[in-house]
Amino acid sequence: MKNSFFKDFVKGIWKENPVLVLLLGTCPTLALTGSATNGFGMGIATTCVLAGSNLVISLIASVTPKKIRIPVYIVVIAAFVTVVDLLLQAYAPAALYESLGIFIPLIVVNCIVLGRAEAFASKNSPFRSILDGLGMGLGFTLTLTMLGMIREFLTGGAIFEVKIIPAWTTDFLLPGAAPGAFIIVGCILAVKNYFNRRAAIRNHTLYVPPQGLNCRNCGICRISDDK
Amino acid sequence: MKLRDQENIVVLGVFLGVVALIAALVLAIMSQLTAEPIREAAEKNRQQAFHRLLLPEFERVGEAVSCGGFDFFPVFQSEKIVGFVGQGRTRAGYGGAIEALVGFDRSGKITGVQILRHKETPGLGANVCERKFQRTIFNLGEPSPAVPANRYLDQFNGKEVFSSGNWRISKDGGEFEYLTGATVTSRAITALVNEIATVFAGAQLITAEEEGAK
Repeated sequence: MKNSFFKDFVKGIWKENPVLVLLLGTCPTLALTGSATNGFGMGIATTCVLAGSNLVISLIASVTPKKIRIPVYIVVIAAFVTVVDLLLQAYAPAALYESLGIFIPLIVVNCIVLGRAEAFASKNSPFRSILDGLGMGLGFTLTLTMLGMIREFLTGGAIFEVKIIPAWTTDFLLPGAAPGAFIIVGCILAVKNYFNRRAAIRNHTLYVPPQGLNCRNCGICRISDDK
Repeated sequence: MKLRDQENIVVLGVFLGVVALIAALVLAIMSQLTAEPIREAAEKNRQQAFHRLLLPEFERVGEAVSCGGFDFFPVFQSEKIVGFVGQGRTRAGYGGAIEALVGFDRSGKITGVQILRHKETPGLGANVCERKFQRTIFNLGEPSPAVPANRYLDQFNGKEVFSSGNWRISKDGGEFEYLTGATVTSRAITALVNEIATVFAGAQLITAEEEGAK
């Protein structure tokens, strides 16, 4: 049993990484990874919302009428996002809030949060849901921070606002803009898929996405099928 | 009879209403709890901006004088006015409103420009607005200076508000440099500083305030 709790937590980091495997939450991934600090801040904010909303949703899932579960989840998520927004305004460094500010409300429509609510929290115990939320959040944070580091380095030769190469050109703007982020995410995806496939070939099998990530097994968009 | 099996629209509506009510209640409490820290953080931010503009030779900031749509704060040193800080906002930014502070000394020279609030693109427009000390691996241990340099904002330093300069960015035929890729932001800030300076020059606040003090 302990082992399965651990799995709930760890799967979000690599095996079911929300950005690199589920390809969810692309909006903040592209918009907010201009610097490592921003990516990290957004990741932590999303993690807090994920853990909180997963907990509440797993608690109320059994009493929520199926037909209105999506609006109910959205209300819960929106409440958590507003709380995080207020806390950031009050206690975060002004510079961080300034650069993240307009994107915080968008966590509400981040597919990762609703996706985990529907695919995991509504079917599992509160404790496992928190672990899932924290793990997914951590995977999201790590990916965003890594992407931010790459982009920040390519645009300014800096990482976490510390210039590693002082003489780096300031005219290479592509990685700092959204199209550059798309290209870099694509490269990271290619590397990840290469490793997954190589591991599969070594085991003489084909690479299959983890159970529950396959579109055929997922019910998120089949709202009209609700009975 | 289980609640979740209900198809009744009234039950569904009431359930959603109750959830929304609870959420609203939690938010109301949170909003109450954080109202004070948020105000404090905003005030600290503003004070810091003031300090950065006219550091180190001022003691307190006086009551604002409203003039031409902008607020001008007299800045005192041993009960004498050493300068004014003008505060204004423009909607012409790329990401919406930009709020700026402009410091003037007694002779009408601009002592500094500081952006209080902006929503410009991180990495582009934000670079024009933010004063950030550039850390490199060679100066990791050094303390950050009180006013980190920003080559776009620092262009205004020492400009005379009473003399007519060409207060536009070089792309529009003016004398100010702008950041490639952030023309809109540069243009908005230049126009805003120009406007605040023009109002300040026209209002003759320094002499008016002196006479009031006498």
